[in-house]
Formats: sequence, C-alpha cells, structure tokens
Amino acid sequence: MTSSKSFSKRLSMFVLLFTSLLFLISIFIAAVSSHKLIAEEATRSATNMLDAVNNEVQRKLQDIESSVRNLSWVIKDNLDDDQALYHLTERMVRENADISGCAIAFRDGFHEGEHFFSPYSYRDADTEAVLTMQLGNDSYDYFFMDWYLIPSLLKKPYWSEPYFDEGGGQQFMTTYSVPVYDADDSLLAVVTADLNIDWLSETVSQIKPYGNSHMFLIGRNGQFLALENMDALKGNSIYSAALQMGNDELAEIGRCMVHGEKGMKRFMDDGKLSFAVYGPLDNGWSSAITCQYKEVLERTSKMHLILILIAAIGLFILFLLCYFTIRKLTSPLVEFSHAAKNIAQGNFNTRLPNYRYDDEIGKLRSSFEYMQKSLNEYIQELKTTTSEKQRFESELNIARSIQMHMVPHTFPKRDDLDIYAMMQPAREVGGDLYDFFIKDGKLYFAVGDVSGKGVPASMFMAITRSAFRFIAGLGLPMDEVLSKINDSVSDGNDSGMFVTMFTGCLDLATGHVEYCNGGHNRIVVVTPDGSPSFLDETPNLAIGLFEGFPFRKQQLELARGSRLVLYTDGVTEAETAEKSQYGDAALLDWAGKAAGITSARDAAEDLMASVRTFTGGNEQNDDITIMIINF
Amino acid sequence: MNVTINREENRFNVVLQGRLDTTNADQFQKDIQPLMEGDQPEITLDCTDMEYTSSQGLRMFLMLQKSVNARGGRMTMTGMKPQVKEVFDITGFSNIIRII
Repeated sequence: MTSSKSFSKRLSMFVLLFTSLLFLISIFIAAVSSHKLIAEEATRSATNMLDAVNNEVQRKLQDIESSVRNLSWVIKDNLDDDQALYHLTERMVRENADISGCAIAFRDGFHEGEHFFSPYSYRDADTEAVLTMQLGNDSYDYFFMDWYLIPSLLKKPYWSEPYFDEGGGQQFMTTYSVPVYDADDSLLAVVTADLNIDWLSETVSQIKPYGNSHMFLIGRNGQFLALENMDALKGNSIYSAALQMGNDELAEIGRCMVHGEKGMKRFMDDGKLSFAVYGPLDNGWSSAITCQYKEVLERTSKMHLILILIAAIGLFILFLLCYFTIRKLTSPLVEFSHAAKNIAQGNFNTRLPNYRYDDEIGKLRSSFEYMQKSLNEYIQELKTTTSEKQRFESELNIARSIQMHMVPHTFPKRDDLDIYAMMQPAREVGGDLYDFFIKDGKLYFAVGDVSGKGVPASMFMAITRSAFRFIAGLGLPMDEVLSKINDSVSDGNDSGMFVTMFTGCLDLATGHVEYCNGGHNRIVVVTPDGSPSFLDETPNLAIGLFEGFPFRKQQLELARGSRLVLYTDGVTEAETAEKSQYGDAALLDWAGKAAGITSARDAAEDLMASVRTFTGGNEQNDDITIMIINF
Repeated sequence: MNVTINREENRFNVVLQGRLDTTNADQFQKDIQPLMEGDQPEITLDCTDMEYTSSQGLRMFLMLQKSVNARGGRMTMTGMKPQVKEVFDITGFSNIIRII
C-alpha cells in the first residue's frame, strides 16, 4: 500500500509542480505586461489631468489678459477724468474675483506735470473690501519696478515672475502688465492686474491621481508657483529643492520644464521609483504631476494576489483530483502485488483482481494470468517429472540390488583357496560382472565387462552372467564355454553391445588352470616369490559380436602360493581429472608391492584404495571389478 | 573427439582426433552418421591423432564395421597409436576390423 501511495503522491506532485510552474510563468508574464500597460495608462491619465489643469489655469490667465487689454482700451477715452480712472481700477478689482489688484501707472509727467500718477485699487485680504489709492510716491518709485520697466522696454504684455506681496496682505502674486501707447506711439501708461495665485496651490493640491501624487507649477526660472504645502517652499525654486534633496533627476526634470518641454521622466521620489509628466503653459510656466509606481501598480498587485490565490486553490483541487484519480487507477496494481506475493508463497490458484479495461494494467493482468497458468503447468509437470524420477530411481535401486545379488557375496573359507571379489558400478547399475563356483574340486571363475554402462549394460551383464553360470556348470572345456556363451548372447544382438570376458577353471588339487580370454584385459599372475606379470593370452574376441567365432583356450600351471589378479578396465583406465590413466604399469607395480598382503580381501581393498588414491577424488567414470584368487 | 569427413563419391577419408569416451560417444555416433549411408563405401579412418577409446567407442567402430559389411564395402583404420591398438588387440577387435 505504501508504494502505491507514494506513486500516486509522486505523480500528483509532479503534475502539481509542472502546472504551478506554468501558472507562475503565465502570471509573471501577465504581471509584467499588465504592469507595463498600467504604467503607460497611468502616464497617459496623468498627462490628461495635467493638460486639464493647464487649460484651466491658461483660461484664467487669458481671462485676466483680456480684461487688462480691455481696460487698456477704455482708459484712452477717460484720460481727462481722474475720477473715472480711479473708478475703472476699482471696478476691475470688484468685478474680477481673481484680480486682487489693478493699477494704471502713467508715464512721468503725464498728469498735470506730476512725477507719479497711478490710480490703484486692491482687495483688502482681511475685509474683502476694495480700496482705491494713488500708488506712486517717492518711496514707491514704480518706474523702476519690474512690472512697469520690463513691458515698457519689451513693448509687449508681460507676466511677472511670482512674488510675495509683502504690502498687500501676505499673498503670493503675479502681475500681468500691458503697455499702452498714445497716438504718437509713445508710452502712455502700463496697465496691470495682480493675480493672487494662492488658489493655484489649492487647485493643484486637489490633483491627486494617487495618494502620494503631487502636482506643482513652476515659473520661468524654476520658481515654485503652486504646490501642496506651498508655505514651506514659498520662494524656493525646483533647483534648490532638488539640491536640498540631492536629487539630480528632479533637477533634470526642472531643466526640461523650464525649457518648455512636454514629456515624462522617471525619478526617485522620497526613495520610491516614480515618474513625472510635465507640460508648459503659454506664459512660460510649466506644471508637472508626479506619481509613485508602487501606488500605480498597487491595484494590479492586489489583482495578482487574487489571481495567485485562485491559482493556489485551483492547484490544490488539481492535486487532490490527481491524487485520488491516480490512486484509484493504480489500486489494481496493489492488488496485483498482493496476488503476486500469494503466488510466490505457493498459492498458485490465487484469484487475480478483476480489471475490465484493455490498457497497460489490463495487459499486466493478462501477463499475470499467463504467468500463473504457466507456473501451474510447470509445477504440475515438475510434480509428474519428480514422481517419475523418484519411481525411476526406486526402480534403479531395486535393479542395483538385484544386480548386486546376482554376483556371489559369500566367499568360501578353505585351506587350498582364498578368493575375494568386489564390484563398484559407476552408476546405480553397471555392466561389470564376476562369478565363481566350486564344482568337483575345481574353481570356475569369470570376470567380464559389458561395453557401455548403466541400464542397457546391466541387462546385458545379467544375460551373460546367467549364461556363464549355466554353461560353465556343464563341465565343458573353457573354449567351448566361451563359444557357447558367445553364441547364446550373439543371437539376436542387434544393439552391437558386447562383453569382454575372462573365464578360467582352476584344479584346486593340482594348480592346473584352463582359461580362455574373450577380448578381456590380461590378468596378472603373482608367483609365490612375489613377482608379478601379465598372463600370456590369446585375445580371441569379445563376446556377442560374431556367432560361431572359434575361441581358443590356454593352459597354465600354478605353483602353490601363487595369486591371480582379475579386473576390468575400470581399474587400468581409472582417470585423474587431467585424464591421466592408472595403467598397466601401475597395476603391475601394485601387484608386486601387495604380494605381502596375504588375505585376498585385504589385497582387493588395497588395490581399490590404490586406484582411489590415484584418481584423487575424480568422479569414477567406469565400473570397477576386482577379483583376487590366492592358490 | 573431432571428426573430419572428406568424401569423394563412395570414398570416405575420415580424420579422428582426440579421445572417444562415454561423454562424447553419442556425439560421435551422430558425427559418423554420413558413413552409414551409400553402397560399397571405401572408408579410411585416420587414427593418428586418436588418443583413447573406451569400450563404448569400440562398439561404435563395431557398428560401423557391421554396417559397412552389410553394404558390401570396406573399412580400414590407419596410424593407430600403440595404446589404442592394444585395446583393439585385447578385445579381439583387430580380428574383425582391418587395422594397418
């Protein structure tokens, strides 16, 4: 269960990660592009706002300009009437709320030879009452005032730089002056109107696209005209302010504004990235609006936050959906793994979980089913094979037992004879044989070796041994014995199997031996003095090959105390792992050394031990038979 | 046991190399199968490099000899090493197989 959980969790996490990444990338791209758009939009709207304010200010200034121009026409008709002139200035102030003062400053000596003549009306800042007076006197020599001097020299209307009116009620003023000329085109007077521009500060302080936005107006020299909290900066210029703040960018903005440029620039406002849009007015003034980007983007940031929140919730739902779907989809795998465990424990008929779709899991199920079926069949087969093998083995064991009992295991204890024989098949049953019996004072003996090994050889061995027991018992000469055995086993022997066989008959009284060798290994004779030699033999032919083969017998006289060593090629051809064979020489050598071992049994076991020592644990590859006859 | 058979019509020149024992007797029987076919074969078995033969191997030579006899052919074994020849002598196979 844990593995399945981690799998669905892993997969879900993977999907989640991937989707989150996509979300983040798209949100990032959206944020960047929307920020750009919104910043552009903010710039545009700030510019529009700026234009609107500029237009309004412009209109107001134009109103004043036209009023002053009108007045300049009117005075020409009233040059003789002082009262009318005073009345004109008074009316001008009274009827124009924006005009705080109005003067008609005549040239030197115009009025009855007087040095100064300038009717002047102004609004008292406290009482709002309009007061009228003659402005010029020795302490106020208006001929040297900017508002008189500059327009008369330039010969065109002039807006003065804003100034702080110390005399007339602590107001921030600017004055519009228009020179008036008489018929001779010589200066008659300068008509002025004072504009209180405190209201400008009020106006601009209301222009706040964003909380920390500012609008301000500067004059031709960069002097602040209108600004929120104007009082603190009255008389300062944008340059001195920039210098104070160490803000070069602001100074650069000031320069652009003074040059009458229109545009947008970025700068740091109080340590926050901001932008300023600015544009000129007709009279050389310039206004600007600053906005902090942070505030501009605040709303979109909120929007993005909401977007991210929605995405997060969506992703969480996606995760749950993925997790449960995948878990549901992979749950058969868990059942399969249980089933596999069960099968591994030997419950081959464990029911597989149902799965009806033909997808990968469906295929896995069919593979499982196939495996289960194959396993079942294999196990069945194995059971059958095993039982057959067991049966075969038990039959082989019985066959071995039968074969072992076909050769004599009891050895006679006599003074004139000590005989012992042993047989060691390479497999359960073998093709070697030996036999002996005593009849009428004669020992009949035989050692044989069927070609090949195993069951076929053992059957041939049984036939041969029975034939020997029967035929030798008839008391025939040895050559006839072998001939008859040969005839009887050759008859119908299509398998090509044959047996080499040495048969002999020892007269226990005289030591006369009659023998016949049917293609068998030469036997060893050890004389009473202990010297061994191979018996001189006519090989004849192995038995079972040609029916009617004329076997020839031979004779030997044994002295009392002699020994005969009979064996099969399992002894001389016993091999080491390196395929080196025991051989005839070693056998002869052994026979000499073992002459001192008197007991036939001890000698036989000693020879077997000698062979075993030689092969050094290498697997016995042929049946071994040894027969020792001590006469 | 390495068996190389060169055939020219009914003449077979067979080179035998190595040991012939119980472990490879079955393979040897398959290897000499081509020699078991055809009328009046003239077979020469070159035994110069044959190291050893077991009784199982003798049986194979016997079967081959019998087959050759039945088809009216001739078989000769040549260049046999003394220790191999001894086995053929002891068992009397020298009497029924032509060895030169």
